[in-house]
Amino acid sequence: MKFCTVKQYFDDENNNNVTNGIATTVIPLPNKHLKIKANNKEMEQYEQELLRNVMPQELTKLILAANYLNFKEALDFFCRTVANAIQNKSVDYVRKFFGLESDFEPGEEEKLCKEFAWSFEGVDED
Amino acid sequence: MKLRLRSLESKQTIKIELPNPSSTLQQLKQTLSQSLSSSSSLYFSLNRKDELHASSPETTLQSLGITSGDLIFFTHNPAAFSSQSQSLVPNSSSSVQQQPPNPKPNPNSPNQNMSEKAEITPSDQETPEHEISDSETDVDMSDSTTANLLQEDDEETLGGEISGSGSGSVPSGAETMELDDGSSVLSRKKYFEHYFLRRVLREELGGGDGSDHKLMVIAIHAVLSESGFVGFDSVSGMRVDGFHLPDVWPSKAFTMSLCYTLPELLGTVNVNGNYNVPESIVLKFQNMGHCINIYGWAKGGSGLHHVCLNENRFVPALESVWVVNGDSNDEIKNQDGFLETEVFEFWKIVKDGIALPLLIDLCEKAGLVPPPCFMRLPTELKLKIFESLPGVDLAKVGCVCSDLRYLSSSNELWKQKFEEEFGNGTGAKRLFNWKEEFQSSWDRKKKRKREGRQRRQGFSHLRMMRNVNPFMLPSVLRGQHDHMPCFVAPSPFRQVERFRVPWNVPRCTFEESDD
Repeated sequence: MKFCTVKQYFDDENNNNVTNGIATTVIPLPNKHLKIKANNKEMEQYEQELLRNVMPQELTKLILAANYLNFKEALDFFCRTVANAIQNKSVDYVRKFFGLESDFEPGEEEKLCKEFAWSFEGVDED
Repeated sequence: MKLRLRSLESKQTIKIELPNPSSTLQQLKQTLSQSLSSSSSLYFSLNRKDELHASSPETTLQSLGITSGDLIFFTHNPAAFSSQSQSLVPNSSSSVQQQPPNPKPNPNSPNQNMSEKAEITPSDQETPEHEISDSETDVDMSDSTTANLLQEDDEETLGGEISGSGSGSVPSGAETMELDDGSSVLSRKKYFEHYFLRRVLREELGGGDGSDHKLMVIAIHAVLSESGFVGFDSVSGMRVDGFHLPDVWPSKAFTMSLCYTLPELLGTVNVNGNYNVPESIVLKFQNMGHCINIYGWAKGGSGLHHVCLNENRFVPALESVWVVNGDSNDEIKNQDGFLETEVFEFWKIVKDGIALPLLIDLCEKAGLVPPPCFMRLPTELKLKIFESLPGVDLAKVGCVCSDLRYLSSSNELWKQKFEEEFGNGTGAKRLFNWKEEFQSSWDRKKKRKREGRQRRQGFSHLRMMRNVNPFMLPSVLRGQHDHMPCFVAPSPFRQVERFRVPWNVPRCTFEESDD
């Protein structure tokens, strides 16, 4: 039942959503899940290893793949990973992480910072 | 109701009690003058930037958004509160009545909470309004249209899209400014009645079926503008920032096409004096009864993207963006909650279904750098990521860029954050602006923590002193007189216990002294 979309994926030649590399990462996940079902910690370790060297862009593609394949657990996990990665980090770090640029006016940005000064306490160093 | 009045210059705070929640601004001025024993005129503001102004002598303080316990700044200097733009409706509406062809005020009304990209330049102000009906308008207009959409709070969100639609659709000048007044109404907790607006806008938009379609088309145009597209005229290749919608809108099925491209692709002038636009997308609007179909494709590309929108669902929400009924605050709050979600849904559908895919397609075709990978995620997935983020980090995300600011301003999201952090204490009492609720609760929590820490530090200091001189007479140490009348060496355990008690009891009294 987790793989109803996967079958469709293999049938569908012209698929831009999921590249091969991503598929090889995402698809074996459920098997591993089954094997290490009882032992959550091992699963966590496995997942941490998997994602240690993954760039944000890769992560985005993983999310899209998991979404396309309708793979809820993987999707949740990847989204949580992104959230953890930017948790308690500064605004600049978040910008760099996502590869975004600030399109605010300088005055506007200052105002924003002032308004959200309450959220800037206790931020990790980059 | 009780109000705190603080002088802008001297920071002196006066507490005033008004007998009646429906007191007017005039009464407040009189009461304050009496307590100051001065008779010079007074000017009030809630945020030290925008003046509080009553459009009529009977306007109650409540309708201005003032409630019991509010802090209001006052000054005798009439120029102290000079808003950068006509941000509060009463000011602007009074000027509407005076001279219709006023220079167009800044559509981005700086708000108490947030000010948008105030990209209005002086040239914009001078442009006579009737030029809007020309295909070409100032570049700045489009920028301000874009900026209008990138607004934050739920109220502002509502205000945003209409300013965009205002500049696009309305041919005559006076209407545009009134529209801006409508959007500028939505500063924190201020609601006014705009029958005059609604009537005129209805007339202008033709009423009946036509206006609904126009509204939808304008709103879709607004979403595209926000995503970075610019409209252009396919014949001349010139950039078009407003568009001239047909006056007579057939109620039966109709089709209409618009061309869009990216600013980078607006090429240079070629031999014939026309601009060369290498790549573009075409949007086709097709009306079928209550639904409007939108087809978009990149010229020469293969992908076709389609979205079908139900007018009955979205038109009321989009309409509410510019016209707010100020009957009762509670009603508005209810409405705002629902309608704001609907506007957000609309934005999400159009963005994910049309704008983003077309943006990616166009970039691919034109060989441009595609938007950052994260931004290419559908809105739902972005929101999913934000769901796992704690509230403070969500606030930081809002400071990153304007797209994320809009996304992170979703009221539903903040409600969830609030409940995660502070539990469901307030219940359904307040139905709007969960972000502010979160912020104030967070501030309170931090304050309590800080005070707790200070108290602990203070006590541990005392304890340290005591430990150094365990057999000194009690009178040497502060605060122990009443407890240690005899000369017996104080028992360490008793002392510790005495100090420990205050920590567990929440000290509510401390928090109220925040003047």
